[in-house]
Amino acid sequence: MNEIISGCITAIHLILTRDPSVMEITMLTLQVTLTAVLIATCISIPLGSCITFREFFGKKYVIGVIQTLYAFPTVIIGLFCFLLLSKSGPLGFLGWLFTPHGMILGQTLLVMPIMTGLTISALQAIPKSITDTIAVLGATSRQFLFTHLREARFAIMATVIVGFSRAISEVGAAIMIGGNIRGHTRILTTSISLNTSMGDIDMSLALGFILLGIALLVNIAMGLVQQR
Amino acid sequence: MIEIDNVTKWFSEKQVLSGITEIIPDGECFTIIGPSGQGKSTLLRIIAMLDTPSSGGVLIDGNDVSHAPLELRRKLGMVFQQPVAFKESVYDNIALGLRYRGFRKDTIQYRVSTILEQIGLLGYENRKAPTLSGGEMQRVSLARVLVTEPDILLLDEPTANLDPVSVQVIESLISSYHKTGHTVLMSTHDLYQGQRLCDRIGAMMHGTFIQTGSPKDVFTRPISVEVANFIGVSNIFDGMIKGFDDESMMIQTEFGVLKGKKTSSCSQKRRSEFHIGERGAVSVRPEEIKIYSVNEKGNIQDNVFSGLIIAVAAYGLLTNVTLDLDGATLTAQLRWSEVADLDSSSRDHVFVHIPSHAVHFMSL
Repeated sequence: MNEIISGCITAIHLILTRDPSVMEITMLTLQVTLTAVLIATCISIPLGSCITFREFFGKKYVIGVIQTLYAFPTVIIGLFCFLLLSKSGPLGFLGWLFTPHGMILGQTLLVMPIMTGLTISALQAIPKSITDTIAVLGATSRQFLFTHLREARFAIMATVIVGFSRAISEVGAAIMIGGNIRGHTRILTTSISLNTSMGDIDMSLALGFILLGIALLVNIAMGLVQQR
Repeated sequence: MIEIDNVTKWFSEKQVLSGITEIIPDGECFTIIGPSGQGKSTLLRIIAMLDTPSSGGVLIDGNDVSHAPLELRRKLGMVFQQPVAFKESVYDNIALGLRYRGFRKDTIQYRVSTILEQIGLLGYENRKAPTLSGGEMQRVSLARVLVTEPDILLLDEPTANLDPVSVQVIESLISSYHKTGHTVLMSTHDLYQGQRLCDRIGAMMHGTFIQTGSPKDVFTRPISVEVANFIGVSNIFDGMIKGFDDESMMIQTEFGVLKGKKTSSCSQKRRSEFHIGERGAVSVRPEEIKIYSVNEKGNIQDNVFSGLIIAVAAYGLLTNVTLDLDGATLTAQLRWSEVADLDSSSRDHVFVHIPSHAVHFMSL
């Protein structure tokens, strides 16, 4: 019990004094995660819209596969990206293995299914009467799509939050693709894992608080936007 | 002009529309009436290019709607039974169609303000539309369409379940829009609304129009018992044509022989096709029936029957008087004063006069 309390005190001290190593890890985490979520958003929303509004053979199965991928284990994503990015892999020429770029790729692939699936759900939840109204008002295809996205904006915002939460909290893919290299690819989750295994509980708790704090801040910000 | 050409629609094994053909000229207000599930909404959705027919087609100003070209879609506007509100302000809701069409901001502002005044929601610009009441939301739905000034206005039971104020505002807007020469095609359960607003009525049953005509035609000369029942005609009896003379037809009913005017007693389509011995149904309009006490009968000869008053009940400003005519039950609608004028001593036993123009013969 004492260990936890002293760990908490040290953690607060590390945060308040802006410990350089903690700040570095935090900044890299935000950089990797936010980039991955941004890329995933740019791909998932158009892809989800396309799947929702286009009729094609096997649509139900495609949606089923996407939903199955929600629970895709992060280590499998890590393994898949490792094989892709390793020197002998098809994307080995990029030289992204054990770099933040590789980690961004991994996190993007990790959150894309969930963001695409939730975008589909958000758009499908729009009442048919709204869709019919947009159509009879004489919207072009682009206006049709943007009006739907605007109507589903709160649900889509929630989709982005879920994607962000999944990306920032994953550890398996980040370790396998990034290698947890100090000062280069070490992020909050991989660092917590390493420090805990090394017995540095203070540092782990500090990083854990920061991770929770980021998640909380993002959720509060999104909540405020939704209330407007 | 809307040309509906032999349109059918199947949903799996169920046929909803079975070969509808109708022409709705420019500037006409046409109301579709009929029980639920007869295909009224489906027909409107096909015209609005939200559904495609299984066979047949719809032409608008000579253009086939099956490919739903944008310029044709923008000639139409449709309001649905359920009020539709986007998660935006009232202003943004109404401005949506104008923004799609690329109108300038000041034009949008002018048009939205004008229509807001017309629908009685001036000052509501910044209110979130989903927070409005159902009636207000439906007014916004109508305004959103009218502000784009479509050539053809399609309305799918636009005032169902709304408060009287909203109904009045919406009817007034529809009426004004029609008067400016626009075509209005509307489905409604409110038969009187159809009468009030429209030039022509189409009674839709079993997926087709079984009768079209002016409101007066449809309401006074329903083509069949089914239509008569739907439009609320009371006093329907079995009947058989017994004979004709120059102006009248004699119809044998369970309480005696009724004389009906030829012009009013059979539908225009079938007038020449009726023959002696033909069986059908005869309706008697309750508001035309006269009741006399025994002492007042005078010298009226035709269509006078002896009867008993078995019930008197208030019916708004009128009174429903239920009569027994030799075993047949007939309802008459009288003013309160007429009921009071009946000689109280002989109120139970009366003479009933059914004017020949109130008699209408229908084929089965």
